[in-house]
Amino acid sequence: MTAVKQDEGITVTEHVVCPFCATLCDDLVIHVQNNQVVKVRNGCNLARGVFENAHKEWATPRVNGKEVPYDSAVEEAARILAASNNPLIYGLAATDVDAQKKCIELADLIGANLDNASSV
Amino acid sequence: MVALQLGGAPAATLGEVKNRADLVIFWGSNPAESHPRHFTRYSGSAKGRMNPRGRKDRYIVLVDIRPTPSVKYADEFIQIKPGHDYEVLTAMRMLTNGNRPDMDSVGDVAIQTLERLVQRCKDARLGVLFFGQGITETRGKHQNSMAIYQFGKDMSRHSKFLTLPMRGHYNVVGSGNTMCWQTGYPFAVNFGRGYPQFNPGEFSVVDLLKRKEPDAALIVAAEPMDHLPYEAARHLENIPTIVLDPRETLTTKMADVVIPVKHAGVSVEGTAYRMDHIPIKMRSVLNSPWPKDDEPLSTIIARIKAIRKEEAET
Repeated sequence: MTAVKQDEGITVTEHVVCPFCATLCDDLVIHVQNNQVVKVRNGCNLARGVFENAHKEWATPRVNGKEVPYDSAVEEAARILAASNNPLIYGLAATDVDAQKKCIELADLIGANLDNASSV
Repeated sequence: MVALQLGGAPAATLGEVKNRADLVIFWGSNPAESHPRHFTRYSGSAKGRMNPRGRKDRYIVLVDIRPTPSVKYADEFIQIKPGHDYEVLTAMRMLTNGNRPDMDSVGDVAIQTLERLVQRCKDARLGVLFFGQGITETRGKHQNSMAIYQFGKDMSRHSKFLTLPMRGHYNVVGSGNTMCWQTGYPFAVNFGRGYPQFNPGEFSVVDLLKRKEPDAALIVAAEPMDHLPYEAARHLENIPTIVLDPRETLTTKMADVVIPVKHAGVSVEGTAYRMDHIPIKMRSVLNSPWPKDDEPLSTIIARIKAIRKEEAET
């Protein structure tokens, strides 16, 4: 990775891959200041949307709409899945291969239905 | 996906397309809006070894049911009647195999137009047909993609010809590949009997939810409340639903349990598969306070094993 620190605290990263569509353009140049993307070079409108909005509306750990410590949310998830007779695991298309492998391991453990976005 | 299993498909990387293709057809796809740089990087204006002049060395055809912003990048636009992709493709297969359909037009397209297109495919050094959701999400679904693959198969007797889907989500190819490699099947898998079973229609998400079968759901990096048909998505409101996502979505707002995670390709590195099945290592540019999604998944797996053990002992 080529990361160049610039004067005003801006970090420039080259050869960034855009996680939006399956064209996976790998030539983006991303300028970051204070953990916010301030400039996207080479990206299309969709890529700019991904990176420029990436610091906005982060999810928070919640159970039944109430914010809880992270571990409590994970514990509740385990409790729900352990009690389920016919669970569904769905998604996988917008994350990386390691997470996909974990989803499969979990599906195997709990006897789940497992499906991804290519079935829709 | 089902069509791919039934018909098979000649595949190639987008690099082959960039370097060799002199005929590119987009069918039911609007790359100007859905894959904006596909055209400049690979399929349109990109300069390649055998296409040194880029756009001038390629003939580009767009087939769709209405003009889209992609039309202005094409040499020819063929407008077909909605829901008639299968008929038009079947007529093209007939023409490819030397039979002329006994009619003046198919799906509102003149037979002469299709004859010219088929001849272009036969004369191509490398012809590529990219098809999008106009094919896969319309009535007939996998039968349409099947017709595309069969057309590609027939055309391969005359020229080098590829039929490639324009995949949407950035790692939807990876999800199919990873599931294939780990379970033997690309999607719609059920582990209820302790081994993987594959049955689209029975274990596919829309069908399962429409029949209200699941009694709990774990959504990982997806937006079912936005993307699934409402009659399927609404079952998620009635069962405990867990969501892993970096950002608030319609689905996190509805979910019973929300577990925030890092955003692969933005706040953590990871591997994704491009639409031509090339794995690409993604970089990270932002910091996130949350773990990568395989960490909470590992914890959930460990906790379920512990709960099972406790239950077995009591």
